[in-house]
Amino acid sequence: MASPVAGASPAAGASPVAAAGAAPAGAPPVGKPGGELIYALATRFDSLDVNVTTFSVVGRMGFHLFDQLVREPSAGKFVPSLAERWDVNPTADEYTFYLRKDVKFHDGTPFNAEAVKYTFDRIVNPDMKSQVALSLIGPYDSSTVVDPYTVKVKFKTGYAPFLDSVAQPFLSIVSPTAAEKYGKDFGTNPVGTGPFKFDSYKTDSEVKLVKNPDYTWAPAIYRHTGGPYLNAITWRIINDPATRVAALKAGEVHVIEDLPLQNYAEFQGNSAFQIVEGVMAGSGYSAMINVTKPPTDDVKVRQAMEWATDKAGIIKATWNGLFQPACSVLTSITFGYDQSTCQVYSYDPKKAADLLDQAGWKLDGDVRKKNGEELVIKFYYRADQPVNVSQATFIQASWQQVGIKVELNGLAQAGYFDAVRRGDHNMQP
Amino acid sequence: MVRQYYYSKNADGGTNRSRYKNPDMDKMIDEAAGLTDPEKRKQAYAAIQKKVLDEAIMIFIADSKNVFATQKAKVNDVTLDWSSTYPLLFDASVNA
Repeated sequence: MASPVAGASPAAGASPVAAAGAAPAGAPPVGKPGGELIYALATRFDSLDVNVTTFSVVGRMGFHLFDQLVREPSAGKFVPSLAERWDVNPTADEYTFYLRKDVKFHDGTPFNAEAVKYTFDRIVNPDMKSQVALSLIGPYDSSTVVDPYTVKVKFKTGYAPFLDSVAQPFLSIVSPTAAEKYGKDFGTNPVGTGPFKFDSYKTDSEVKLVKNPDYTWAPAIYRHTGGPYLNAITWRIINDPATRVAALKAGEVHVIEDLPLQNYAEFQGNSAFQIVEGVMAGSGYSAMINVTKPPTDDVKVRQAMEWATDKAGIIKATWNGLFQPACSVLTSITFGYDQSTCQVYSYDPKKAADLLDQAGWKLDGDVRKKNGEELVIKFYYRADQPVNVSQATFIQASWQQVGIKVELNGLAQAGYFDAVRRGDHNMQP
Repeated sequence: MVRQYYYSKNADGGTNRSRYKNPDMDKMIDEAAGLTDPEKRKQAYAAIQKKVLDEAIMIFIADSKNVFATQKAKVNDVTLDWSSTYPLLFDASVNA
């Protein structure tokens, strides 16, 4: 329920799960040169300035317009990109990056340590009002140009997740010349070092990128070196899911994002299309329980709620059964995810009932009571979010069977945020 | 992520909507952030995840997916990054 948060996965390790649609690692790409790919974006966005944007879709374009110091082929594993190598001190508050010397920005500006320092200082400049990049850069202190191709980045406190941050599109390195020249308009005149250059933007409608003919510095996450095969990529904004699906079916676009789940089976069964998918990194859908408000201030009541939750049932009702049940705050592909979390709870209404009995909540008719009061869980959620409504409705019906009454408080966005900030809820998505 | 959800400073109307405040948890979160050894970091995160479940602060429901669709005959080699968030088109090509 909580809108899933795309993920900061800290430092090395973890066994990644390849996206189902991904070609096998190492298999050479078809590599037919030329042509234009048309990609349907699902949302409008604020700015093509990756250092400033709050939209993950901008990162989707950003990986093509810009390069990053390092790339992350699997969770917590890093390979060189604009940095050929790097050192981290033992307290993780000082990172030294040794940079490639053969890279230039689309406007001809040479890429070097000054550009890295410029970019990171720009992100923490309050005037930029950076959000995603600012949170990713963490306790950033300063960057020092050691020599033209060596930069030292210092943090106020140890910051082990920094490599993961610099591998994300939001910490892409921007052309200092262009950022100075365009100022606030850099978001509609982005200049990076990436495999594609900015060509044009029709507001809220279309972005066109064209091949960067000078590109020879592709990171090893890709399966070929040299330049991109495509001459151009057009990113067309098509908000409405049904229109997006229709555009793919009609052959007007080559790729769509956010395939509506009700269309999943149809596309899977049709050999004209390919589904490309994977579990998102970060956090999935969940419900937070307020530990300060009775009756959920009692850990036994909360544990009973865990045992009473039929995740498979919710997933079937809400996502056509297409998602995997979650066990932990981290999704199964995220660095640090601990598989043993799946052994803690399962759907077991009997255990839920036993715990509630122990906590003094005895069944009295259909609802449990203690000292004359009914066991009521106040569930607050946004009524304009169908996913939340579906889950709330399911949980209410399901928990009734163990004698828990769920009070549904589906509110408009503003009222919902006020209520949960105040702590009116026992539970919220 | 764990800091957003379980750190005491975020508990009063912030992102910690469980309003959960526990100095032990704060310490675990702070210590995990300072660990550079990936194995030790993993262990630290495992301990945090276990504590969250033992205290039943949050119910985890579903791991979400990103789902894209392509025209199979016209497009080659559209893949996703490890986090399934970003389509990668550098290796991609189109057939006329």
